[in-house]
Amino acid sequence: VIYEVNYTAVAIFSLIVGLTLWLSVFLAKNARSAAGFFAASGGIHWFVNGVAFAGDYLSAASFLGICGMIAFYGYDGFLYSIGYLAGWIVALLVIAEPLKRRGKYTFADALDSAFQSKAIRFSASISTLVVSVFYLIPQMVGAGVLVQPLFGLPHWVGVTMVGAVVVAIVMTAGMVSTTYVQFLKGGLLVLFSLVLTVLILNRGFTVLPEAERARRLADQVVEKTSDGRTRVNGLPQGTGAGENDLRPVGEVLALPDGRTSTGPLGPWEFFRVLQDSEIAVWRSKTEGSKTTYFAVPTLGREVLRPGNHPSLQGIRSEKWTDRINFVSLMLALFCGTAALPHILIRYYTVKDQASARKSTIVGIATIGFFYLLTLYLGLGAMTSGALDVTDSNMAAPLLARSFSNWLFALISAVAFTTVLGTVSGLVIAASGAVAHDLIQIFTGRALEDRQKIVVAKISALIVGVIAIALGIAFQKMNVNYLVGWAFSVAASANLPALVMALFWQRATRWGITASILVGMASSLTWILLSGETYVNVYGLPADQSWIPFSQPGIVTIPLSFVTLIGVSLLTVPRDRVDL
Amino acid sequence: MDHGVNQHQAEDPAAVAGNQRLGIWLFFIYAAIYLAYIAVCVLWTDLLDQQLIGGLVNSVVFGFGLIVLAIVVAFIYGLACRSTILPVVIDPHTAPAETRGPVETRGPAGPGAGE
Repeated sequence: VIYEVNYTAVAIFSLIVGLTLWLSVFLAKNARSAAGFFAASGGIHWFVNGVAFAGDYLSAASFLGICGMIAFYGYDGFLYSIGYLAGWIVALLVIAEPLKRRGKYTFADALDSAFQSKAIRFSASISTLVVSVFYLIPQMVGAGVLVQPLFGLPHWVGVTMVGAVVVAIVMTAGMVSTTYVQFLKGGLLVLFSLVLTVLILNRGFTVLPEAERARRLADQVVEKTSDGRTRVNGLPQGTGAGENDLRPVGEVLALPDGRTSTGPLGPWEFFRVLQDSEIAVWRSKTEGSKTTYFAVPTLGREVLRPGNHPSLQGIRSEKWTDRINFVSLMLALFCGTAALPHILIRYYTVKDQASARKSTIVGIATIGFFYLLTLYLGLGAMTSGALDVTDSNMAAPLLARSFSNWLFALISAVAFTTVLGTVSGLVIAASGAVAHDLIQIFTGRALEDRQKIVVAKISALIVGVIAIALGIAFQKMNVNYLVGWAFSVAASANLPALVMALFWQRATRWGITASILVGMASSLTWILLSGETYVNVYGLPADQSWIPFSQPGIVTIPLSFVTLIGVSLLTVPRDRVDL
Repeated sequence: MDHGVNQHQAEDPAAVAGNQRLGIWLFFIYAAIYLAYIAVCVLWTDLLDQQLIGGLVNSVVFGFGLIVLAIVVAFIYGLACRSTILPVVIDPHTAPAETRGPVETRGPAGPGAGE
């Protein structure tokens, strides 16, 4: 679909970016020490930190990816909402307080606190960099996807804009400004998602009139010509005379009891009506350079059943490996959250363990409430008549446009701050791993406060440039797919080491180091050799891969635990310094 | 090595252990329910189409239930946790006059104290 430049969106976007940059400059004086730069001096109020957790965690994948997945495939996207939130239970009940007790600036601090081992610090900082970079790519790709239709700018400009703004935020005031940007973003995201949900319920469902069916449900054919142009239904793509553009889609074909419209619905009634309705779900098939998008009349009950998305069809498969793939994904989501370095460092920004606990509870309530809304947002988009068949990531902003252009502008700007908040957290985590951990290993001494900040700022700049380059290079990759990589690597490399270092007295430094390295290497190898990567990255048939299923967690997480236990039992424990 | 702003706060080991026990119990309860949900998804998918509560299909009830349960578990944990920070002991003989007041003794802190 060709989008016109939305000047309201540009104005609101500029206002929000201006506000975040002003906030960063205003708060810069609070980040002159290493404690201030990396951990906001532990002075963030637990409530602010809790909402900032939401701002940190609810990434482009959560907002744009999940809403888009539900809008096109129904309940499958909601499985991600469930898994992403469940992971916070691990963070609250197992990790939060011990981590706060032992750490200072980085994830490696907590692991290393009882051992003072260069090997642990090195492996943990490498793992932090790998996970952060994997997580950064989809955020940057998401930024480009968002800016392209809004501003009519090329993808690379959007990616560069996000990179530049984030580097400016982080270099000016480190964790202090990052926290308030994330607080702002978390609050705005939940608020506007609630507004959209109320509007969806108030609008209810309306059946597509019989007279419009033939036109609105006709196939749409997109063809790439040899000279790189796009043709839609046989004509050049465009909005002028003799040109054609794709139609927005998302129709209700029948409601229960033969009604044509429901009027406003309650939150439960919304699902009760939908499950007994008939919806037009859009699918595609590609033959050579031609892709045909076609409507499939589908019962609402089927939409609310898992197993429609290609990556989750294994739930209904007879093959046991397909089912294990799904279990493995849900395991990685459950174990991955509490092992994401950019989430873990937020425990150092509050004053004590009680504040760490309380802020996690606020985070869970905020994130959980948002995830409940995702099902309304996705299904609302599915029936909004506003979807772009070629781009599921635009479902939430286009849903907003079905209500008003102002709301579209606001939601797009909020989606953009979503990317800013998450990327800022990732850049801080990565720069901390370099300035606080890696430099100490290679120079053989801890840097002074001022040196540490200078190195962190230079690292933030370098990480920002790398993120921009990768965001441009991976433009065509699926956003949710890349986030899945980050969760699997984090869950395999970091969680076993963290849990055992905190709770198992017999763990040794070599056991922990081996666990991180084995978890990271095995999950990465598994991912790179999996059928999904064969198809999505190498362009090869999935059956050429000899890996039985694509999600590594169910193998690599236990492998990492077993490695830690085995190596620890085979090595002599040095004196631990338990706090 | 310096370990953060709270490194000098003395903690009550009994309260820390108690909170940890509670956390682990709640974790296993939630993890068991989460695993049961995954098992239903892969082994008894048809169960998700049926309606047990309020005329809604179970997929919606179970999904919302897991999210709401996570929030409830978090609040239960928050309310049931004891404070682990021990009150600061002030020696009435050596402390400056303006800090002298009722002397607190070290001991297990009660629920909510010091937070």
